[in-house]
Amino acid sequence: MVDPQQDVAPYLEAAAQKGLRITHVFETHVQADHLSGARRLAEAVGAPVLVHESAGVRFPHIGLEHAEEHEVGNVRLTVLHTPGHTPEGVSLLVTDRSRASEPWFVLTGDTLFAGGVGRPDLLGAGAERRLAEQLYDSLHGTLLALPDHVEVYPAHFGGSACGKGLSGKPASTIGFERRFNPALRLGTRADFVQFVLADLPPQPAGFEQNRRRNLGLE
Amino acid sequence: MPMERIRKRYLTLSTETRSPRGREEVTPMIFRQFLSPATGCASYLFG
Repeated sequence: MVDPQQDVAPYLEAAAQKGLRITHVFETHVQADHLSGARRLAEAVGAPVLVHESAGVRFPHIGLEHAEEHEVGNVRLTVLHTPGHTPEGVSLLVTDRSRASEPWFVLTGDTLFAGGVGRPDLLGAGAERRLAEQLYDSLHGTLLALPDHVEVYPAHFGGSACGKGLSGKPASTIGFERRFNPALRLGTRADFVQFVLADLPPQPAGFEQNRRRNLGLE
Repeated sequence: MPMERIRKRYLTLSTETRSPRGREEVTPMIFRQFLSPATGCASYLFG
């Protein structure tokens, strides 16, 4: 399970319908726009919460490191540390070994969306520019290094406040985003930083409190 | 906090019953994408 929301009943129902046992509860990052259901789901199924080691969460969890792999039946997940939206952001590269030995899709969290990228300003405190630079490196150094045919499944789509210009279509491919995502067509890091920091709406009310609760601080 | 009912999309990503080499039985991968239009959030269950 990846990025569960607070109401975990649909996940339990879906798993039961297909005879799946939920063995891992991944968080691609510490969410700010909603309350996470990760701890609730983990307790319900007896599985660990897995989040990047730099997240600083204050509840029992397994800290993820870049490039580590997890085997779930025929599925292999490879952790890619992709900071930028937040410092602890990860993407999960998935290989279905019943189909191929190469990765099929990547869950990009809030790093790469269909039509946009994660906004780097939600932490505030003057971290925006550093995170924007990290976001550029995560996109160009990690995600765009993947083959064009790899499918992209982000944590948000149109309607979310976690990025700008998001498509209403909640999936894409590396190749399509490489060609048509406005944020990925900027040649230099400086141009990218200027682009992602421009015209950002104010941080919605409640984001900071959500983040603190999702960290286990409240 | 009341949650809007989450819409879900179900995809069977693999319908193969045998491996590409054809020698062993494999379990098809299940993949579900859960979408919340009110918040623009997506969650994933697969394995």
